[in-house]
Amino acid sequence: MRSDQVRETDPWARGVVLSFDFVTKDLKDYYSKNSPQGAYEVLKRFLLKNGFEHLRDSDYKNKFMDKVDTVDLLYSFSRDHKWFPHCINKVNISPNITALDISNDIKALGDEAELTHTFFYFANCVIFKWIIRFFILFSSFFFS
Amino acid sequence: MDKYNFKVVAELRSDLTENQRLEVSSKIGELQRRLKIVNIDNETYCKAPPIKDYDDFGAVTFFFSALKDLKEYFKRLEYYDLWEGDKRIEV
Repeated sequence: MRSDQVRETDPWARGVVLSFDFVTKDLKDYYSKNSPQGAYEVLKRFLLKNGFEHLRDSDYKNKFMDKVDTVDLLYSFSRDHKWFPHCINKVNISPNITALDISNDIKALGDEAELTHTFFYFANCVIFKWIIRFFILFSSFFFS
Repeated sequence: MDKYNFKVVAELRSDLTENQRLEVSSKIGELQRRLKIVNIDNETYCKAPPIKDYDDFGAVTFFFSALKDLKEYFKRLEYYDLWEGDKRIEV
């Protein structure tokens, strides 16, 4: 494949990422006064059962579902859990884009020898500044 | 009328009884009210204006999901994504 060819034009081709957030006060009113945070666990179980993968916090990924099927799934959840629509603060559906992990490559750029060199370079700069200061001080004393 | 990006085409069956027609029309009306959906011709539904940055997706898609629960009353139930060119035919 030539590098100037577009490989994938559909941003949703790799599925969806679903993110949501509840209003704690509403969870207390409509879900549970004593354990409102349990709602996150209920939705988590539902999403995992329906092919989603937990990413972090309230972010979930499904590689095979599109945005319309995700809405359909949330509709069926809200039909069975009447508290759900009342407690939502935010629900976002976004395309699951490929994340390119370059952390190890950046780490590989780190060179200990250069780091030492950089340290001495800055140390020399500091020493050089003091030499200049002494020179100015000495010359002002000498010429006064 | 703002340019809409999503629409539902829903056409009731002609052999419904008067009671069935009233019942399903009432349910559709309630969904329209909640989701702010307007009927732009006899069969086409989209989000009421203003529409900004594809924000008609949620309302129209939830409307379609909810109508699927009533699909036995329709002779035509279709969803159109004019943004990305997707089409779903339920009935």
